[in-house]
Amino acid sequence: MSEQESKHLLDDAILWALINPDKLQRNEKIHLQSCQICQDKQASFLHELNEIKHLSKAFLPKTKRNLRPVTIARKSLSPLYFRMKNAFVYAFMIMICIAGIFGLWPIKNQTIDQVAIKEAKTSIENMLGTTEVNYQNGIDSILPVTFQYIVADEFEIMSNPFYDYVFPISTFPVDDS
Amino acid sequence: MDQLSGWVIEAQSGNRYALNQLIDYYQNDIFRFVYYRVHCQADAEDLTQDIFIQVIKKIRTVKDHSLFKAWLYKIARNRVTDFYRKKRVLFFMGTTDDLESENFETSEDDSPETEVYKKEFISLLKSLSKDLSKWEREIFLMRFIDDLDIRDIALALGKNENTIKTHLYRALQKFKKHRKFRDLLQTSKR
Repeated sequence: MSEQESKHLLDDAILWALINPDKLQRNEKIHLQSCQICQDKQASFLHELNEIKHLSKAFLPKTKRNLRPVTIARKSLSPLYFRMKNAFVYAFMIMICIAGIFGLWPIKNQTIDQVAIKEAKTSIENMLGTTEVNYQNGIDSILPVTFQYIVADEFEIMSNPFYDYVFPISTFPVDDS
Repeated sequence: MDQLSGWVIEAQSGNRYALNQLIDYYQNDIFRFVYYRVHCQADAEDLTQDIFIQVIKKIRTVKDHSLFKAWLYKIARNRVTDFYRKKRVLFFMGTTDDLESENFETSEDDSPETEVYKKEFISLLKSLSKDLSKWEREIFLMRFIDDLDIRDIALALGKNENTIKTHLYRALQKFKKHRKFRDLLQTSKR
């Protein structure tokens, strides 16, 4: 046995020997195989670690109930069912998209527009019809009789002294000549 | 193919008997995993049931049946993390009194000596856990309480095997310094 091989293993090397014996150097492995002191040291440490395992098992309380969960039998559905269901959902969504794109969706709005246009046309036609009747009856105005005699006030700006004062006639940029 | 792998395959194809066999096989292990993290029997039982409900729901997603054990412990760990997250929220809202449960279950069969020993063991385990970092604690518990091998721990935690070994080495260094706990373990009689 060489000098290196005759040296006792350090505690750290003994720990490594427990976890990963391959990590030990060749001379350490040779020493451990032949040295009773190092082997005892390792065995004592290993015993302590094994004792943790045994005591943890021994001191484990007994379970008060069965730990296996109760499974409820359920009728299994075939994967084909789920595939078909998904296919229907996708088809329905595609139909909604197509309806949106091609303008099938706002049917109600279109109807409202058409009704408004129809009403406007009717009222215009009525108005035109009344005008024609008035013309045929020799009536100049389409206004009712009450409103036909309402006229605007006379424009008195030229005869009002106040306006004469504010805007004198001579200041008007009108060339008399 | 071993029997466990066979049960996993059968359970994935909808065989309820195989699923029950799997649950019965692992229920004590998962209960132990949860109990030594939450330290409360009622909570541990509830969480174990939750974990198996999730297993029933998701077993079809396991691609490699040889990884079932690691997958199961991954679910268990996530569920325990969720439990603590929820508890922390309730603690800040003032709905719960303590974050760490101090419940200690006693059994009628145990002698007073065993009771004291049990209490001491759990208390020292908690004390050691406080000295370890998050990953060191998780890996130490998984290796020496749940008896998982390095490969399964790496898969359950989604980490490299060498990383697991490094964390475990650091945890063992801290355990070595924990004289009180080691004394208790040395004096124990199986």
